[in-house]
Amino acid sequence: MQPKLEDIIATVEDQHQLLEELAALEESLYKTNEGKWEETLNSKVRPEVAEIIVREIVNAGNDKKKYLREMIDAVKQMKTMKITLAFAPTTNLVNNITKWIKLALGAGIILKIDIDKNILGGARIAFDGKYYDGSLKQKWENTWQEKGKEFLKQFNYG
Amino acid sequence: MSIELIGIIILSVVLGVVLAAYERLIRKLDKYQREQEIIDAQSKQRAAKIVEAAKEKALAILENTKIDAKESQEDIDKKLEQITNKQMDYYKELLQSISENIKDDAKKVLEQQATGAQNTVIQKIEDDYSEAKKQVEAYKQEQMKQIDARSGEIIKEFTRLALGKAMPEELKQALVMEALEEAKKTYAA
Repeated sequence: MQPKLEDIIATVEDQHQLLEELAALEESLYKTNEGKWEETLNSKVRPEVAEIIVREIVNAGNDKKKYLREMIDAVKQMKTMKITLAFAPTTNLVNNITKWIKLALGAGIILKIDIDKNILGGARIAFDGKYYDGSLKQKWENTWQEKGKEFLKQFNYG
Repeated sequence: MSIELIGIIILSVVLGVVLAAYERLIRKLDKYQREQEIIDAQSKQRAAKIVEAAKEKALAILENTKIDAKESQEDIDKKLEQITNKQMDYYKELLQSISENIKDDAKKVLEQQATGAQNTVIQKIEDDYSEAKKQVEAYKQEQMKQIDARSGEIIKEFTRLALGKAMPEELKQALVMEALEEAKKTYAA
């Protein structure tokens, strides 16, 4: 199965980068000099992205302007899931999260990843006006609230 | 006889009458004066007698009065002495009674005061003990909180260091994915 353009957007950074590439291509369409589109596609767009764009334009009927405009609007309208992690995620983790999001919530959602070592592990998630603290710190504090006093009693503090 | 002579004769007669009347008046006055003198002398004598009698009487009265006064004074002294003795006895008894009452009252007062003081001291000790107990309990609670907080921080820090450095990559990712699943369940709920 050939990748779609939306498949290469996992994070907010990816979104910004793709929007810059799409904007450059759209701008090249209004240049009068010959070969400007090709030049921009080769110099300002990542090869794997350029490959997808070219293929999708052909599939969409070779209307570059329409494709780019629709694609820019669609990318801009993607929803953002803010996720806080205790460490910088590997590419593998980001891919896993993205896959999980598509399966669980559908397409058109990108990640804004923040790093906060204090959460120890797990993740804090904010999406669509909702928030969930699934951090290891929160779990630890919940456990401490429940069993901390009992734990301290072992040291005759209770 | 001439009128002048007649006049002289009349005048002479009148003069003689007047002179005679005057003489009689003079004599009468002398008589009155002597009688007055006699009366005055008699009066003086009588007065002197009266005064003398009165004096004697007064002396007698005075003498009697002295005697009576002396007797009265002795009586009074006796009576006063008796009264005084009685009063003294009464006062002694009264004083003794008062003294005993005072002793009793003082004893009671002292006992009451001692009891009151004892109760006050006991109450004060109990209050102080209660206050000290509260302070100890508050201190204990505060220490407990500090220990709780510090223990939590220490363990958290240890956990962070241990997990952050030693947690395998698979576990880190698993915890993230687990958080996503939990979030999904929470949103769904």
